[in-house]
Amino acid sequence: MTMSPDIQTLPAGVTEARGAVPSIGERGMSHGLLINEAQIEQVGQLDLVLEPEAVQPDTLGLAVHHQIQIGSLLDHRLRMSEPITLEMEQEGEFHLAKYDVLEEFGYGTDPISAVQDFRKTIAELYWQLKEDEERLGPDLAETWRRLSVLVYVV
Amino acid sequence: MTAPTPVLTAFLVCDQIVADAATSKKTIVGIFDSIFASQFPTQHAPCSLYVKLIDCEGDYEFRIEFVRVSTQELLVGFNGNANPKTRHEYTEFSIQCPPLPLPEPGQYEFRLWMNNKFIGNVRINASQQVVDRS
Repeated sequence: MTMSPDIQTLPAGVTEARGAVPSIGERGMSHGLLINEAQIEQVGQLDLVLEPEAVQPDTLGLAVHHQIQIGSLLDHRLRMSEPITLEMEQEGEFHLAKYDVLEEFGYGTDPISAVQDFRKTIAELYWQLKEDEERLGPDLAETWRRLSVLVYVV
Repeated sequence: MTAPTPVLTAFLVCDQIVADAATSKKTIVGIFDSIFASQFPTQHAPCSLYVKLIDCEGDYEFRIEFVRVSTQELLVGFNGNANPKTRHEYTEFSIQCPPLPLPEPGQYEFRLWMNNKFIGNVRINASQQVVDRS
């Protein structure tokens, strides 16, 4: 017998900031234990202790990276044989994540969006070139040669 | 051997994560991606992060950043270490965050780095809204 699962699309979750320092049980709500530093629970096999740099609202500086290293793509079927380093640039309102070896880049309105766009672009390029492997011109054949060394299917 | 780069399969922001001691099942309570507040600057708590990874084996230095997207300001950072034993099983962990500073309405994100490699991010949107408590 085949059963049809009951699949529902759920609206995105919204929460309310509760001011500077909420107290436990405020307004009859059940809060997690309020702590002054991050706590980590071991769930599964990790034994991880995180040490917070700061818990103050003051900024710690800028989280700007001129280079960002990645070792995975936005496609769970694909793996990278080695990490690569993306060069981060800004052109007007847009940020670029460039990888000159493949002459590819990702872009977005902020640096991480550019990196994510690159990770998605490379995954899509892999499948596209793989499908057209027998019909590629010299330039794309060279791109495929480099890409197929860097990326593989699990 | 160099630790492989983990692949992120889940990165969630929620109120609380409860792990059942007998079964190790996790209950993720109150997943959200938006925060509203009646005024800014403000802080938000409680907040926990749920992270699930595959291909995670060896020694890792973790870093999680909480960043204001529009300005790239680093508001909170965590560092830590982990050494999962096998890459063929999922690895998951939860983090109970300190109160999150929210200086202005806008987009914020948590970024996960492992061994200085960018693994993934998750975004939340903070907006100003009058709360009707009637």
